[in-house]
Amino acid sequence: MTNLIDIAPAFAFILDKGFVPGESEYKPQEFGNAVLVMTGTQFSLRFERDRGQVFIDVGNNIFGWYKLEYVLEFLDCINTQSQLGAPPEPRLLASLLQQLWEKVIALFSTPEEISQLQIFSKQKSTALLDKIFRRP
Amino acid sequence: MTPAESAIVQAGFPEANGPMAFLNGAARAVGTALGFCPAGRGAQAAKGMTVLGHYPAYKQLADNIGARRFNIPESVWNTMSDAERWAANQKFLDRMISRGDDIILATPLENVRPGSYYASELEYLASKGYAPSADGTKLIRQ
Repeated sequence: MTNLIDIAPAFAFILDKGFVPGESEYKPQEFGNAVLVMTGTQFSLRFERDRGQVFIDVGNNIFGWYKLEYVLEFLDCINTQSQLGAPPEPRLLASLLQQLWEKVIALFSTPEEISQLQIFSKQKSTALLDKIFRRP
Repeated sequence: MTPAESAIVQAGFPEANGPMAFLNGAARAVGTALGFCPAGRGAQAAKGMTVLGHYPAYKQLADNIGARRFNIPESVWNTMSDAERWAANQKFLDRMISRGDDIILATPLENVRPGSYYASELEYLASKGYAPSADGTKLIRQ
């Protein structure tokens, strides 16, 4: 078991927005890896601690799950990887999520927007893989 | 010796051949217990399968198919610097390469997270001549 304050304290504000803990896992014998899903009404947040690095996805089982940093960049193009860091800094992600909260709610209420987000996420992933495998 | 030093020594840091070499036996025992260095000292580990990916996918797949995976307890990992962590990770990859393991990707490539250890592992293996298989489920030496 893990909790939000342990894995990503900067996101404590979502407790005031009605998010409740869901699936949770903590493996002290394996790097301290952990998973925590915080369930909300319009969307949920999934926190994964992988070898000490914390990653956050936003979405739900209907619209799918998306990297929070990609969602924030999709909603406001100034939120680039160079701004957010790699891996993204959780405190910065939390601050931007608070700022763009209403836009995120609107995004997960509009299937057409989600389709655009899927395309955007795929482009970002392709660019990352091109960089990793040094494709021209 | 601190837990971090144990992890570093058993991962094959240069110090393992220097002043700390006498600690190799104990450190290797720790590594063996962790499943990090399954072969005994000096033994040539057999070719097998290694799973890479993000948590929890890599753990689930490795457990299911009986493959190797990189693993260090939190109590040790948290005492290591970023450089020590990556050096241990890289040593794990080097051993995987030298055994000629099949490299299975538990996390689809489109889900690689920027800046993650998984991304660093893929980049390192790409520098060693590996590329994704046609279906993206393995890395193949070119």
